[in-house]
Amino acid sequence: MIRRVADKAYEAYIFGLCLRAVRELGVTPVLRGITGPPTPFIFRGGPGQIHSTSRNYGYAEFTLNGQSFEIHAGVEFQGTSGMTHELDVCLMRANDAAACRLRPDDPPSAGLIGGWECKFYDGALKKVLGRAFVGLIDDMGSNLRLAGFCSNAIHAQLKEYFRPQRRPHPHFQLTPLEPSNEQIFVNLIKAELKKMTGA
Amino acid sequence: MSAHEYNTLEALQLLIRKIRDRDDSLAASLQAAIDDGKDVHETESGGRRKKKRVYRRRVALTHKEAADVAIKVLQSFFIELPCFIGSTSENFKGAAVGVPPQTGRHLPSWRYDEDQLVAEAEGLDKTLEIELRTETQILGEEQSTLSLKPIPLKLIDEQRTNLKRLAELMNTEE
Repeated sequence: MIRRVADKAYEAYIFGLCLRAVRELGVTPVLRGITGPPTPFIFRGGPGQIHSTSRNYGYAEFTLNGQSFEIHAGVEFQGTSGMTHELDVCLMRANDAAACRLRPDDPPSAGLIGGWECKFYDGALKKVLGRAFVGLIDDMGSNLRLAGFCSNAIHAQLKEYFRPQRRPHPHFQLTPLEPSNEQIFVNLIKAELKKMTGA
Repeated sequence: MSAHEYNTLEALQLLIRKIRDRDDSLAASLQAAIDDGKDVHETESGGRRKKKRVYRRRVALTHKEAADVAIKVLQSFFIELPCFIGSTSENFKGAAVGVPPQTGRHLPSWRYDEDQLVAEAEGLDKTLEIELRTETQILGEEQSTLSLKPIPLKLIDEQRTNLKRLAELMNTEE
């Protein structure tokens, strides 16, 4: 079980870094639950739909310069091909999220702003994960501004693989033990949100 | 001559066996990390006239390297993982909890706009849980969710010491 807990805890950690980015922009993110106050705040254990009420899944909402956004974990999106994809952690426009809860549907990739694949080190990072994430991002259309592959480990070949433009940003060794890597991740989110909202 | 009455391979086998008794998934992670081997660069001398050629070759780890990898994996689980939970907890502390207003209406929480919510608990610890039994899972996990509780630094330090000692015990080379 520890293996599964580790993967989910790593996703939660990346979600937490997104909250930190929002706070560093001077905004307090608000934690919400789909059915009621998020006490406790529940992270999905597997890919799920944004409108699912089978548990009181948590998400975060914030408004920056009049524009509202949400942060989710483990939510499925509809790619431009029509295929659905799960994003471990994502940042999306709040109105798209609300529309999909009101009229249950998978959010379209057009509403997606940032998506991160989170992989806890389990010896060696599998190259296939990098390839799969590149394919996923490719199907997410052109509105996606931030995409990153996050891991507490490092993989030299994957780092090279992510180097070309339009490929996800490699956030390797992203761990509290490497605060400078955390700050790079947080700063990228802040910069993009500032650019989008003029904040 | 080894300082112990066992060699590194025996120590490694015992470690994996003991871990497997406690948690299969952790033992599998350890095994996979070791089985992954490593890349080395070999040089092919192409005769007198040809240039030397360097190529990549995947080889098995030595017993000492395998022991080091095993320790590294254990550090990830027993030192880094608690750090992730601690960091998550800290970052959630700075967020507020959106509570729907107390009215006669009974709407699901998400139906309220952000500005209609009462923001509470900013700066306070939040209870975080991860789902073990997913919404589509019929069989399997008994426990539906698991609480992500921060682990005291003292315990993390103890684990650091334990793993350091384990690394020393596994290193049977003089």
